[in-house]
Amino acid sequence: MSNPPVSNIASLSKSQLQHTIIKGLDFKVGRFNVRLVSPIVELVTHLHHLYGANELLVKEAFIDFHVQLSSPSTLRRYFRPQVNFFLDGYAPFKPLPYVQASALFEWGLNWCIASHANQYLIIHAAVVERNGQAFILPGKPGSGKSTLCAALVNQGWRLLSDEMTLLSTHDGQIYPVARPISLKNQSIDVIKKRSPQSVFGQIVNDTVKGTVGHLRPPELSVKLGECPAFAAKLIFPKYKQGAETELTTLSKSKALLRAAGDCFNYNLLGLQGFDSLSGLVEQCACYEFHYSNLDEALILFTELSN
Amino acid sequence: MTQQTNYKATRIRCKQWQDDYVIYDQLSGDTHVLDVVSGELICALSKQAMSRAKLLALLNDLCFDATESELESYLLGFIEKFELLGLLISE
Repeated sequence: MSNPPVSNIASLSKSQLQHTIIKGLDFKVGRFNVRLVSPIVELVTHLHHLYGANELLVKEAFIDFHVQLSSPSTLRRYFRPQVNFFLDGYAPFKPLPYVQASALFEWGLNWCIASHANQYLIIHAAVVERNGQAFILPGKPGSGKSTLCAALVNQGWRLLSDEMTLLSTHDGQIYPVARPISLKNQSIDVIKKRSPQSVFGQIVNDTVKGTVGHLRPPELSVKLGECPAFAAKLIFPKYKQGAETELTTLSKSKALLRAAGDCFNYNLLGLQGFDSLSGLVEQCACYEFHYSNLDEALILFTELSN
Repeated sequence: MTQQTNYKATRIRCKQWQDDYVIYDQLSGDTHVLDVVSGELICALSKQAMSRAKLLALLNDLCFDATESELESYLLGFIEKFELLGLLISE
């Protein structure tokens, strides 16, 4: 007997999606199962635009994250509407302006994974793959990792994540969680100009991070949501206006120390975290990378992956 | 009769890449990057306890061109530093 065809979010019309999400939309995000309940129309548009390739779950599936986004039912909603994010009925954040609902969903989902998925050592890093080699790009906000990640993905690299690298503490492989790439401020126009065909969700102004836009991940990257990758390079990028393109080898000890500082749960995992991270550093060539020119950066990364 | 003091590195995990040493303190959760000499000494002490004389001999092998007083002084500083961190105990 053959298996029934797998449905994804794109198989639902926008009105079906809207109808479903009010009761609960169950879908896969990488290896995680998410149930999203929300009456917010903007969120329906966000999912319709950016999550089309994500698989819908069968009814009996175990749900990792029960997420709800809704507006507080106070009088304030008439003057300055807001939106709340809930996980299992708990609101970890203060409410945000209603127009930021889609951004709050993305940030909230990041938080769900970063605070609960401790079967992985989670590095604050973009991760992309080409020719079977995963490149891990750790960095603080503003380091240019998401811009570089988006440019690489638009050149055909596989996206594993633009925000968090999930290093399995069991097998040392990198597990994907391919979701929309979060770009901020000038990076949005840079990527739009370079790749006019790229699809963005709603551009939201005046968030705590400035102007934020989410870029749709490649369909194939989402479909490979269960396929891990082998880490080959650990590269710490730093965008600086006018900087020369420069790749410098980093010692393993320094790379380990820097990567530890970029982890969400290194201290929590204790010795297991150290063993996982030292294993990663051992198998990777480690570099510091300064750039301002994306074209030069892409050429260099392509050479490194060949 | 004088009793010989032995030193032992406890609760650490060592990792070495050529001349590049990192240790992890399992109690505090701290990660330290070490120079090659301290790295060699502490990793050797994590495997077995050593007397001061044995440590000096190991140090002599690592830094064959150093004088005896330089080695003595280095070892003193090494023991003080790692005892203070709680990574080295004398028995």
